[in-house]
Amino acid sequence: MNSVIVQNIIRFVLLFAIQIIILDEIQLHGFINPYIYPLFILLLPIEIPTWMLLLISFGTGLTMDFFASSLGLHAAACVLMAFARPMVLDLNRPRGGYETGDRPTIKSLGFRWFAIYAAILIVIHHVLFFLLEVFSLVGIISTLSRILISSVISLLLMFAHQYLSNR
Amino acid sequence: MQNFIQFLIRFHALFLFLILEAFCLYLVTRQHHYQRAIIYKATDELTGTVYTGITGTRDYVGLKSVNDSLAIENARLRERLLMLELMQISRPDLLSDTTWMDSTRYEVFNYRAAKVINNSTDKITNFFTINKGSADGFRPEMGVIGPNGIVGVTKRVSENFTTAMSVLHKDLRISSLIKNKNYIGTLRWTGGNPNFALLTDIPKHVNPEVGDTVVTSYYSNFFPENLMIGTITDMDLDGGSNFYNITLRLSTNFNNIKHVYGVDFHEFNELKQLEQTTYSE
Repeated sequence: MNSVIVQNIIRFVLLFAIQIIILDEIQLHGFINPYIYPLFILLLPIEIPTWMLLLISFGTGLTMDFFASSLGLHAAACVLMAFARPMVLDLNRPRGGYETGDRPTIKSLGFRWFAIYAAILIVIHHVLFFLLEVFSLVGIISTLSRILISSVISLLLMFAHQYLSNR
Repeated sequence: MQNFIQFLIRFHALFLFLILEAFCLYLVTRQHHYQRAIIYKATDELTGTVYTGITGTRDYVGLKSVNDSLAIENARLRERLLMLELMQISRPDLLSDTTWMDSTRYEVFNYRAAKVINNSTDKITNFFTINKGSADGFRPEMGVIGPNGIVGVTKRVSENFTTAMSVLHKDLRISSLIKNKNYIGTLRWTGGNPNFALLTDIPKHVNPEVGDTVVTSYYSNFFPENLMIGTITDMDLDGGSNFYNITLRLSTNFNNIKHVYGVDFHEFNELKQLEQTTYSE
């Protein structure tokens, strides 16, 4: 159990380092912001109680908000994503259900499973985040394309992270 | 009662979700209020320290271009100095006249040098962080300028750091002047390309031209007048409207701001108080 906590703390620091030092510095054509830090929430253990998941996600979003000077934006997106996570896990249940020792990773449950799981949750996160950031329906087409392109890049980064990390 | 508690336990996740989400939305909508300033006061010092570390490394990479732009600024200032010295020799009467006239406006501004340690251009609400704070005389609502023109307006100040709204922030409005037409409009940024901004409220009869220079106006409380903002690249009259939509190319490259000056206006508080009491009457 302790090793799970330590492992998650290390992952938290690592993902935020990548997010703040690298991704926030890259300005892809001005309007596209990929986010890799929600991967931390995706990779929390499957059996984590929902209330704990919600509180951890709230804290994760708030941490990002402090670095991005956007109090509440990331936190709101993360909490919604966390709330949807148990449902997506249920929806995406592999044949025969989850077994003890299963982790929500490509290595443990396969690429197809992880791609569906991550795509649904990241799109939920990005939709709420970008809509709240703009806070209006003016220019909805441009906002939607930002959401779409940012989601795709975020997901590609997350897949890359999954293949590069040894777990 | 028993039933109610069981109901709460059964749906605890939903309730926790609703409470947290409501709190987040409250924070988002309260963005411009006092609470936000208080929460940030504590965290700004921490995130500021992290960013200082990151910036320390990043500075070396951009050293050459920073040197260049500072050298250009030096040259410009030296040229001005030379001009003033020449004037003093040739027309002492003119100079004393001019300074006397100008002093009413120019002496009230003071410049405080600082370095940008964090910056963004890819959001709709862009901010940057400066490595000086209240200990160095920074305060909220101070203009920030760079070697090539205006950069933003300070928002929150902690002891050693200041965060500022960039010109690239959808809520920032700056009173600006088309120099050779002597007409005042409002500068705003609506997102998109960080090199371009919009100038609005210029009426039809002004006839601005592509290439006209836009500078800060004499109405601004943040900036001294006549500071470079950008040049006009495009304009159109929207469907029979009486006002132009003018596109400006900003003179500051916001992807690369490093050395900036905070513009301190000595009587700012006095002026603000006076205006506030006037408007609230």
